[in-house]
This record gives sequence, structure tokens and C-alpha cells, in this order.
Amino acid sequence: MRTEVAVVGAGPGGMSAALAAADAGCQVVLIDSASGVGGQIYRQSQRPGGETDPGGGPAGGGLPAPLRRVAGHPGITLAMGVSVWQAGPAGSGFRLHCVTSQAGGQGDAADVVDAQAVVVATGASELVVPFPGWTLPGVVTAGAAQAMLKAQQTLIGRRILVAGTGPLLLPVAAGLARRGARVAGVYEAAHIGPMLSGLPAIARHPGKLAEAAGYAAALARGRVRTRAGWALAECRGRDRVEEAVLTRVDRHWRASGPARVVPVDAVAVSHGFVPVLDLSRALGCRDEPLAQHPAATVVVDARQATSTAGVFACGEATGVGGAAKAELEGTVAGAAAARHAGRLDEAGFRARTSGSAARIGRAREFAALLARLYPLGDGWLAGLRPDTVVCRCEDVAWEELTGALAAGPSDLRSVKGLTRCGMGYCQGRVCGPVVQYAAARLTGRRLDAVGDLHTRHIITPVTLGRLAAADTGEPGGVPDSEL
Amino acid sequence: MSASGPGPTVSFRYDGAALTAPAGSTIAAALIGNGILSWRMTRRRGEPRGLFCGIGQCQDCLVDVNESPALRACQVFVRDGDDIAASRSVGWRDAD
Repeated sequence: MRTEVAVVGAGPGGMSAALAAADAGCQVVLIDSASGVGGQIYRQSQRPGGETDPGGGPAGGGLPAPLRRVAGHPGITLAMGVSVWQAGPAGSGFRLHCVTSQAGGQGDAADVVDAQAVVVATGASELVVPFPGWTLPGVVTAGAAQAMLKAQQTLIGRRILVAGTGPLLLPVAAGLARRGARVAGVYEAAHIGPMLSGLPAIARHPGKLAEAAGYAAALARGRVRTRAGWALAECRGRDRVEEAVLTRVDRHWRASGPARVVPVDAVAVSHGFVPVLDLSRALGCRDEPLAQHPAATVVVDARQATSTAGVFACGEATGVGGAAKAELEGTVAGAAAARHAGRLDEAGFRARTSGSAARIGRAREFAALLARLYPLGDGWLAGLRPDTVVCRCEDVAWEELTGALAAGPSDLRSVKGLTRCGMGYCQGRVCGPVVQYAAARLTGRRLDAVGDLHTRHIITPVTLGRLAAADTGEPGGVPDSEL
Repeated sequence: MSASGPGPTVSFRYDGAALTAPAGSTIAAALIGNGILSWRMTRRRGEPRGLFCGIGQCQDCLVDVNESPALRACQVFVRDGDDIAASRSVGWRDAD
């Protein structure tokens, strides 16, 4: 399939980019591995006739009206249920290698999309730091609990505890309670929870404040206990989670008081987000590690252009900041892609993006504020036991990681080789930030000096047969460096 | 645990047991809706695993479906007549 602009990721950023490019006259292919548009935040029901669960509030509900134009827009071809597994330059543009992901290998169909410009709108995945018992069945990410609710109208349990840190906890808890779950408490590790509104900086974003207040009110109506300055220390159970242990913590998440044991049959936990950079890296886009968070963000200029000419990025990939930031950046990225494809002249580009710089600046300011409100404490490291799993795929224990770090290798690639962290099915997507953070703390270095696990993975799982059959446009098939 | 409600359903088997789920269910939702929380054992420790990230990233929820090994249960929809099994294709530690 040939197109002028390929947008990868159909969340608020990708949808906005697709609309901006299509409104400028481009042919656009909008690709997402999910079965419908919306991304994580506007996830739609997958059940026939299923009414999308609002998921807890205004940010979790149905598609905002402006984004609904994506469906039926004559310039936009939707490629839902499609995963890009590899991408690279081809001719004067780019070739995206795709598989239909919903078939999930049951007769997977392949396709290539050749595009003059690519918009990377791949979003973020959840960060969960380890604690004893975090691998027990019934312990899932807050995002998983929300996805099951929104797309599947399924509760992950009857008595669910919500814990960790970040602005996702309240909407997830409110959504679970609305659906009839008994929410066994919301435990936010940060001391400045979203319930507290004292900071003048928050007051500059009244819409966000009202949203948080709405969740808090919904939880209060359901008599859900919400606590700030409490961390999930442990989950216990035989073959599934049966109890959660909570402790009061200081602002570094170090235990500072007695423990509380709560009976549960499920736990939804989240410690923040990390941008998904597999596609941007495959396309050669430069990213920079963050100093305060075990993650990196794609470097973009004022036009959302990456270091690779013809590739643009928007949304969480350029810095976790939520739907409003993603939509604003997406509009600029889509217009810039249309400009690259020759559908807009400079005046047209400026007309379609005027005023956006200031609004994007404001959205990024709010993102930075959130990062300051919900910092990742290091107290969880002290809670790990020698046998606590840190790499879920390869069953790597904490003592194996600390042993490797004590043995002296300074780079995470050696640590990976010694421990197998990052060599399992997920290719470091889950443990990568954890290993990076632990290595920084244990070796007294900055997060951005440690760097990441340097995984060089295929973007999404594919069969060897698919790899062998790939038409990469170059002799010898897929470049060796990618295998 | 499921919010199954009225509507079309599909019938499938899981490790030999006949089960049903609402049409449009992912395999993860279908299993959880039937009270099944884990469908894989890890390779080294032999510990049970099921849903974790829910968005296709972590690969913890791998499951065998018909002739296809190691599919992500959170991403694949259950179909009428599917024969689903706890994954023995990845990391299953057989009882010695």
C-alpha cells in the first residue's frame, strides 16, 4: 500500500495528526494494533453493541467530537488491528512492515505501507517497579484494569486495590467502583496527591483540577478510602493475590510507619509511564534520556520534526503529558507531514498551526508539573528481597541483578548478558526502566548517564516465517543489525 | 467476575473444559470472566502467570490457541470453537 502520510498510533495524538494531514489534502493511513481508534485513553468497546465504559470520568469517556471525524474522512484509511513490526527508509520515503495483530498469528496477514512521511504517535507504556509478590496472578497494571473495563466491560476482580503513583490511579479506581467493584482503597505513594490543590501551579490548569476533583468526589460517594503517602509494599497469596501489604512512606518511598494488610482478589498498580520508542528508534530518530525518570523521549523541533527528515513525532513519545498535549502536538505533526509531502506551502502550514506553540508550551508545562508531583521514589529498592523477581520474562531475581552490578560492568548491555534481564519475551519493555533505575542508584550514577538496556528488537512479535518472507527493499532481507 | 450480561456469546474450550464468553471478548477477558487468572508457568521458577500489562507489551499472558502457540491473550479475540490451552509452548516446566 502506498500513501503520502502514515500515522502510527491512533490515540489522541495520532488521530489529530491524521486529521491535520488529511484536511491538508494528504492521503493518510492511520495504523494501530488495537481493533479501533482511541488509543489507551479513549479506548472503545470491542464487544458488539458494547457501550464503552466511561472508565471513570471525562478523560476516560468516548471519543471527543473533533476526533470522531477520523471515521469516514475521505482522506484517511484506517488500518486497525495492524502492528508495524519493522520500519526503515525506502526510496525517498519509508517502508513500514506490518502484520495484522488481531489475528494474533492465527493466519497473520502481512502488508507493507510505503509513505513519504511518517508520524510516530506510539504513546507510552506503564512503568511498574517490582515489589515482593508483584508477579502473582491478579496483580495487573492500572492500565490493564482500565483496558479490561473500557474495551471488555470486565472487572479484574471483585475486591480491587489500586496503588502506586500518578494521575492514573484515581480515574482507574473511580471507573472500577462505577462498574460495581469493591475498591479496597487507593494508595498513592506521593505525598502531594491529586486531591491536594494547594499548589498555585495546579490552579493555572483549572480543567485538570476539576477533573481530579470529580474522581475524588466519585470515590468519596462510593466510600473508597484514598490515602497519599502510602506505598504497596508486598502482595501475598498462594497461586493468586490474596492480600496486599501497604506501608506509610516518606517522600522517597521509604517505609516510615506500620504496615496495613488488606484482603484483595486483585491489585491494579502503576508507577508512571515510559514513552514507547521502538518505532522511532527503528526510523533512526534521536532520543534523549531523562535525568529524573528511567525513560527517554524523542527529540523534536517546533514542527514536531525528529532528527530523521520526513519523520514527525507527537504525544507521549516526545514526553508523557496526556491527551491535550498529544492532540496539540498531533495537529502540528500532521500539518508538518503534509508540508513535507508537498500538500501545504509554508503559508498554509503556518495558517493551520498558528497559536499552537503557546498552547503546546502550556501543555508541556502541565506535564512537567505532573512529573514533579509524582516523582519516582527509590524506597522500593529497599523493599526488594534477594529472591524478588525483577525480570518477569526470565525469572531474574533481584540478587542476580545486584550480583551482576557488583561484579562491575558499567554498561547495561553487559548486565543484560550476565543476567538475561531484557532478553525474554518482552525484550526489556517491562524490566528495562527497572534495571536502569536500579543500576543508577546502586552505582551512584545519573539515570541519563546509565542509559537504557539497548534492546534492538523487532517492534512487535512476528514469526520467523514472516521475517524470512519480508521484502525489505534491500538485498539480504532484514538487516543483520535488527536480528 | 465478568460483566457478561445479555448478548451474543461464543463457546470455547480451555484445557478441556467447555466455557462461554461474550462475543468480542479477548481471550484474557474470557478466561478471567470464567475465574481463570493464570494460564502459563514460567520457565525457571514454574510460577503461574496471566494478565499483567493488558496492552500487548509484557508478553506475560501468552497462551496456546488451536494450532498457534504463544499468542498474547490480551490482544487476541476468542472465537467460537477455539481450543485454548495453558501455554506449554513457552516456559512450561513439565513435572519431572
